[in-house]
Amino acid sequence: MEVIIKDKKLIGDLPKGVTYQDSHLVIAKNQSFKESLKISLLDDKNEEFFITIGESSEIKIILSLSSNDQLPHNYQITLNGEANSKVTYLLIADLKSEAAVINHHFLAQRDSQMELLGGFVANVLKAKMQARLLAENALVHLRAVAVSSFNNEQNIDIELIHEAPHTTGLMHNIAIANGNGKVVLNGVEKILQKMVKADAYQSLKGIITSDDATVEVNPILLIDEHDIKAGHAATVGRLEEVSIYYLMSRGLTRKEAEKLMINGLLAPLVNEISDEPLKERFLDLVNERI
Amino acid sequence: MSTLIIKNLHVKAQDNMILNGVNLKVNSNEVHAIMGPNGTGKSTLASAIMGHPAYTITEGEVLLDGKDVLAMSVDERAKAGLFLGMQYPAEVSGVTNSEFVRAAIKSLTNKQMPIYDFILKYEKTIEELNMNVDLAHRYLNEGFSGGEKKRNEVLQMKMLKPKIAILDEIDSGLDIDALKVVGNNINEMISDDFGCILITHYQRVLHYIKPTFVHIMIDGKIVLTGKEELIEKIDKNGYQWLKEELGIEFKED
Repeated sequence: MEVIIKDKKLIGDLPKGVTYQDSHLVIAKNQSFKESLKISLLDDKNEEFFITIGESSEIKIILSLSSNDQLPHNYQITLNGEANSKVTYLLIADLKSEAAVINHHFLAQRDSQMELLGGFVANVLKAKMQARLLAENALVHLRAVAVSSFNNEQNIDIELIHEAPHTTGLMHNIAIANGNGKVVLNGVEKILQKMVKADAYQSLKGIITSDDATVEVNPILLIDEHDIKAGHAATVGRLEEVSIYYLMSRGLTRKEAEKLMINGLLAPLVNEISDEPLKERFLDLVNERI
Repeated sequence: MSTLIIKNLHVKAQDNMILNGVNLKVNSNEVHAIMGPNGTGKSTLASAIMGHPAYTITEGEVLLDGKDVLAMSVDERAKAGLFLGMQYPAEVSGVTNSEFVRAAIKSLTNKQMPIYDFILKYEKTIEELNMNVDLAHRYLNEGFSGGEKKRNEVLQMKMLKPKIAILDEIDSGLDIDALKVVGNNINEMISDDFGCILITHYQRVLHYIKPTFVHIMIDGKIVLTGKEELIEKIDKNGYQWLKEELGIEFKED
């Protein structure tokens, strides 16, 4: 299942139960798809895109943003998961733009489950992935990877807001900077007042592979309620020298050892990409930058 | 045939001199056991030969088939034919054992081994070491018991086929059955294409791997070289007799 959207027009055939009109993709109620739906947004510099997953529907969506031009790009993407829906959403942003903005708003309704994965391998990018847990028993698991290399700069905000009691919000994010690349990764989790039994966890990992690279990770928990569960972990550092030495002692060059380790760190995210060619492309994009 | 020559090797870690002039010549088809009390520099010798960044060579030479090992990076040493079975192998999350070994073979030989050939060979070697076949898909040494890690070192060595291996306490943490298996596997490798240095605290492993030479290391120097009779002597009397026999002073940790 693969379609292209260019100049807001759909190219290709959508499966039964899915419609597209005026930049709005709608998955009807009670639909279930085994195969992923892959959508490529091609060379659209200003794009607003809405996705609605109907009640009790289940789907895996892969959104690919790819462009070689260096002009400013601006994407605003909203995904609404209706009650009891289940969605796995994977974004791969490979933009050569010198000023790109990608904002995501995820709305999780009652009993909905969202597995959200963001893979950012763009040049200069400001991105935000904000998920709002709007009703009870909504669950969002957000994972993001940002890789910056020579002259790249990425500012990534990952935000989860608990706006209902009994909601679960988890985030696991990794930022990798190579060369003189820079990544600023902010993980924010908010639990509003009265949102009892909310469960929040965030982990942020920053890795630099050169002396000139910069990674900044900022874990922020904003909690206005007592009866909740919350935890966080954040680390920044180089790859472990003792592991690099171990791999090199078997014949791998330092570069090969670092690549293998970084790919290892990304394995939990990359293994979620069921589409093999896409998985390879994502890994290639990451490996070009490290 | 290969030869590793260590000449007058002096090594320090931070500001402490650890090796004070080690001389050793190891040929293919030979097993050199290095024994000695704790803290005497045996593991430092192993690490310094492989190029561990924590150690600085202040004097001396290491040559493999006439090539200057000390001028090489760690991976170049492996490519030249050296292998170090480590005392404490690193754990690397996310990298599976099989993908690591395949990557290492590619780096060493400069070509990718066909996946089918690799799997057959890897699984056969796993079996020879009496290990579980799921090892291939587990992350590199992550969550391995001490014994599993040691066997995994031997597994890698068998796959990578070095010319000269240094096995640093490869016997520690192995139960008697595992020790037999590891011993047999190492023995089978000894040939005109392979020789090794076996660093150990215990004579037990030397029941399974017959050393060509036994060296005793004290305070960063090899003070005595002999054959199997030394093992028995150490087994019975420890190392104290060396003080009288050689007229040297040292402290055991």
